Amino acid sequence: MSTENDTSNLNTGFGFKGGNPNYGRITDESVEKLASRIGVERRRDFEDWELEDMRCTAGSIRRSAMSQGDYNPLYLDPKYAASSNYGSLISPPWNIIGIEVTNAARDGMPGLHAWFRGTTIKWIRPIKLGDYITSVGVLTEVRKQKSKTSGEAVVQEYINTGYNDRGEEIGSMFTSWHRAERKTSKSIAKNQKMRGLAEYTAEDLEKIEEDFNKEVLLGDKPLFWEDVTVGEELPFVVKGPTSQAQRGVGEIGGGRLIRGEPGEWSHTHGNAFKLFERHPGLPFVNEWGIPEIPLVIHNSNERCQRYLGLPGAYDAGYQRINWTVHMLTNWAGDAGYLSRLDIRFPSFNIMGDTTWCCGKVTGKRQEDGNNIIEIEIWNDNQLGTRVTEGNAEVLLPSKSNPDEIVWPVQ
Amino acid sequence: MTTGIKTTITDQQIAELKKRIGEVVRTDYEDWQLDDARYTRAIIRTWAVLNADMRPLYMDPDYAGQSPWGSIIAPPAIIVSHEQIDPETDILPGAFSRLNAMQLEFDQPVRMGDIILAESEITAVEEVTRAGVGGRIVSATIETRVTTKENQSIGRVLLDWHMYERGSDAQRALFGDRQDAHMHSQEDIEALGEEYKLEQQRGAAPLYWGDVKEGDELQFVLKGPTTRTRHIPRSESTWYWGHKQANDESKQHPERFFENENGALEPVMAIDWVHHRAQHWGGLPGALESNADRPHFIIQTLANWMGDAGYPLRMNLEFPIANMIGDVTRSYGRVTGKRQEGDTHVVQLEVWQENQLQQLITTGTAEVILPTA
Repeated sequence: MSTENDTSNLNTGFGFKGGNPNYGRITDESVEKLASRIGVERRRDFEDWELEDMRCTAGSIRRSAMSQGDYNPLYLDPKYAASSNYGSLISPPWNIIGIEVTNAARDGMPGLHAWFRGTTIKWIRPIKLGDYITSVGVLTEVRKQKSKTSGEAVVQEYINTGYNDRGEEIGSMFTSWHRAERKTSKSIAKNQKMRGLAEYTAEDLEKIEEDFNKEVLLGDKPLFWEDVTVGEELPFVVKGPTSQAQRGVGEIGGGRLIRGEPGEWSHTHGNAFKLFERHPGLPFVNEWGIPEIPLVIHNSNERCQRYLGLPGAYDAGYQRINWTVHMLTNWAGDAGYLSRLDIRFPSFNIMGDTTWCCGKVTGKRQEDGNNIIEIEIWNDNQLGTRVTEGNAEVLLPSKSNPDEIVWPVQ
Repeated sequence: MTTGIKTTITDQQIAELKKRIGEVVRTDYEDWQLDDARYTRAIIRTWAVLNADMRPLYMDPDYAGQSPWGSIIAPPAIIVSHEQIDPETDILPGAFSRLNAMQLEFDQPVRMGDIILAESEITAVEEVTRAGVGGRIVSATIETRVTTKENQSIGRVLLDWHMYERGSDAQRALFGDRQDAHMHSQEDIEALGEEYKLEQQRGAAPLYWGDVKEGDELQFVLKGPTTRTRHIPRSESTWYWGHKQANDESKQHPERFFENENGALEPVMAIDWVHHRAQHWGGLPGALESNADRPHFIIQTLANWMGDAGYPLRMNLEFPIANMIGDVTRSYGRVTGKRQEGDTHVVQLEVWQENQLQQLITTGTAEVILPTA
């Protein structure tokens, strides 16, 4: 039987023999090829029947909310939500991420490692029950740069804009990605002093449990702009410890329909062979000689240790967006509206970590009829390491107009 | 290697489970949930992609509209997924569950637009004795009746689940002599890629009952090597246990959790998903495939042979040998007889599945209804 330490006879190579010689390498040619797509509008080619299936239903909202551990009744209780200013269930704000047409994990230079550096999300109007969303994505930047952690690297950036089925813009998502050669990353990572997996004592877990129970959901009590003071801290939300069971659901948002496209988890059996025949540079060869999509490396600590020289499986960052949104919407209540989130990921969040999502009011202003609260946000893990940082803006009603709905109403 | 995960099945648990014989669990949708219970084109497509059986009868409304069914239909074995009692969480939580056998009866396809309801009933519970093998095994039989919202029968499913004490010799015996997952060479993989290209589907051209002869062999269907890629979509929709909710659940049902590599509690079934974890935590040679995929593979074999106009009538399958993740499955069939029941023309078949080690992993019979010329 193979053991954890007996891996010398296992095939741990990347790429499938006979594939693209530039697979997993940064070359001038591959960078230029990718850069030629700058400015090209890309849309998902959904057909009408697929759009109908993508309508936001009570079930899809519920699955998304539960997958992130956010049991806000605005997402779960149709009667409660009907009596809110929204008039119906709404999709958790993090689902605007669904407008992302493509990203660096799927776009250009196959075989390179892709890290999510950060994103700026702007919300214009809520996604409501029955809506479906379409989007346009554009590659805006491709540049080479030297990286302290991975040698030569490439930065790729995108802007995605989303629309509801009435043609109204719901918001946008700017994303920035870091690409590096996997073998370079691995060798550099091995030479660095890397932290190990999180370890918890019974006391640690009791503390986490206590913090779970400190969650405060403002709900239907309105928070007025005048009542917010600069410097006040928002009640934190704690998430984790993450695990394979949690991430399997959390990263995919509680389940979704599968189209059979590259980048999905769905390529298996004969479909996988067809895919890899079309894209011979795509798969890695797993421990048992089977070609698989590289994405699956990131779903177990063991594979990230083995293939990437990392302490464990790191998350892409999307869940940290969701959890931060959970923290902000808990604080703002049903009458508040998250309008902007600028978030960066300075450190890995490793599977098994616990994340405290925090915020502090840094400013407030009234502008163009909006009552805006400026908030510094951050996530710290169980080691006290800052894994996320950024800022957010929340729109609140004012006492002078307490019944104001602070997002555009159709 | 850590072999610390051991669970026990007590007399009291078995007695309590026996008291639940006759218990019925039904889908009970509220109005707002009905939209999510409908079989849309995209949901059927999802199943077709997951099974890698993307025949136009499941995918193409124009094509399927010309078929005898008049619309896209769902893969027939989808009725298995409507079981309302989850053995992993609701029979003997914490035990290792394996599907040992199944009987399926098909009345009509699930069509695009159908809202499907189901009710499941525990019909039998008994302890299984294996001579010379330590560790308890409990068999729980669950019958599921699947209907449309308009109460038209879609079919019936009888699943025989075996629940094992984790860490027992009985659980280890599922692997037979195997010590590790199968290692494929590049040549193996290339050969499988070529083998996949041989698959043929009859499609719209009907196979008539009168043209079938006893002894006819069906072209086999290849599946695998299976990977974690395969496993994730299946498990993703059933686990909402993370964060505070996982913590709450672990207090209420500690038997459903194990202490993972971080010292944190995680649903115990997550051990079973990948080889590393099954080896490390279970002391096993690796992770096993779900037998729930096997009827889909058999039906793909039947459908390739009989075309769109044929439809399964019933199927009885037994799963004597477990496959490990990474294995290859070839599904076979052979005609053993034919009969006429009134206007219905039935063909009887022997069906079986083998893995890359030529182990007979599934045995069984199937009956299909074919048109007449």
